[in-house]
Amino acid sequence: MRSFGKLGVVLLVLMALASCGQSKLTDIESLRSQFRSAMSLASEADLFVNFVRNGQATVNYAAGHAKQLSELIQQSESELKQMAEAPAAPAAVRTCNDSLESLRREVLEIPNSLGKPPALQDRERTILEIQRQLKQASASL
Amino acid sequence: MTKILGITLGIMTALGGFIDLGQIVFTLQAGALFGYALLWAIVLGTAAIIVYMEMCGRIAVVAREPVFSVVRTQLGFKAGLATLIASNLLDLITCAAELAGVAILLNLVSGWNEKLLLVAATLALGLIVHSFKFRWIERTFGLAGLLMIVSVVSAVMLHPHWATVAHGLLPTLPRHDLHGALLYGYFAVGVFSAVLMVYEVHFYSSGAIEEDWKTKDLAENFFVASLGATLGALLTAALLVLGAIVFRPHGIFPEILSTSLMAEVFPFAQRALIIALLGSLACVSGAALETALSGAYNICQFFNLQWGKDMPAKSAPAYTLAWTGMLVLGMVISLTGIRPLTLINLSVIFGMVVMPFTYYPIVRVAEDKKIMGAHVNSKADSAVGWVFLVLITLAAAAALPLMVLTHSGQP
Repeated sequence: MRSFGKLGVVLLVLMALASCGQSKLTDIESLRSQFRSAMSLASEADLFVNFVRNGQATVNYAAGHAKQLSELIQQSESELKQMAEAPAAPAAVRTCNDSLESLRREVLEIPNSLGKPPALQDRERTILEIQRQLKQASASL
Repeated sequence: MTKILGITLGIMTALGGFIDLGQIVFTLQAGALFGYALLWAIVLGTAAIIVYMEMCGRIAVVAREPVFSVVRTQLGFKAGLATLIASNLLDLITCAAELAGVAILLNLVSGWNEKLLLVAATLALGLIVHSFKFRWIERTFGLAGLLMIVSVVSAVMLHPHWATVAHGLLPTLPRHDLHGALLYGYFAVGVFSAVLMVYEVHFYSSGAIEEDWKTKDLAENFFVASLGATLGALLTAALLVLGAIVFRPHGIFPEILSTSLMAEVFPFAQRALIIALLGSLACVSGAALETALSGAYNICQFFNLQWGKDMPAKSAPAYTLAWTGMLVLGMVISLTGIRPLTLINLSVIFGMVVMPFTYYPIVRVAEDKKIMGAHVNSKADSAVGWVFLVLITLAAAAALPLMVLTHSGQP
């Protein structure tokens, strides 16, 4: 039984290490990872706009998915805020943060644009611009 | 007709085990990161789960011994108890994540408040378990889960490059930098583990006893296990293909359940989304029930208490209390707002660590002539069982270090 106790302690330590590893954002590599995540979210938002524009989404799905996606973006923003306290590249952190903020606003507007092709086109244009900014800032790292 | 419907035990077991919240998102992520390169992990896991489902079904029929009774006799009380605690903790966190998944899906269907839906869904699932016979639960969720076939049709309609798909069926060494190689290892272990989750065999062997299978049903046991697992594998492979086709070219790393639905119906119109939503709802609800019931089966079988879904609640009070407790605790954990995928990541990886302690006793009993008599393992059965056990143990040893080194699979 004692050996199972030791195994339990080892598992707890490893769990703690695994969860710590997710939140430490202190170097350029972590910032690159944040940019990858932000670009993934922007591409996902673009896919979502197209999904809605093609008439594939129901009203409730569009609203629910927009909420979930915006929460994920917000989580990325909070991770970046932690990074801002120990900035590896302050300008890039700012760009990433501003882009995520705009992206979140756009995503939350998508359900309101359901059935309005011009509005959806505007959303898509803005999202593509956000993607471009993120790409540019990421390349400078 | 009864025999055909008996297949639904295999289907529900496999769909609840293969196509649960974790598998849906995890497999899509694997496809998004590595294309078709991890299809082999699904094939390997499927072969292993067929072998172990067949063995534990046979043990349940011949020796009337469900899995946790076997675990106690083979590992001894102390090690058996440790396995019971670990398995039930995993069942609990998986159940919590699945209940959260049910609430998310219901929100996507109805637009109602997610937390209220979580409470309502838990009550509804509790009522279903309380009111319906085991076979009707398995038939309803098993057959409704078949709606997920929409993702197979979707994957085929998107015209994957079949030669590359076939190449992915063979294990290959990763050609990435260190982080990429570790990620590949993490997802390989995760996909393998998600297919082999131990609650599947707990549920399957208990189900065989609940359905009162006899030795004359043993020929069907292999058929039921194979058909259910193959179907689950086909759906899982379809999800991986969709991840590779829909997300990979855009650099998308899907992290939420609602994103996965877009991939599942990518080439179709709105009606397909409704079908995918209902299919996912059946599979994720089935997984929530499977984990809650497995937790109850485990406790009762380990402590030799009365159990049985079809027994009156008063005749099996510990069993009734245990599954009710699993659902209620699962709901409370979900209500705290922990992200379901965080729970799933933990359950998939820590599930791998528990696996050797569940599958080892099964192989030992299945090859014991004194217990199994004429239905003992053939030499080939045992050899395959031991080979898979070695692979499972290696994967179990690698699971936690990979989880730490990749920060739980972050690209």
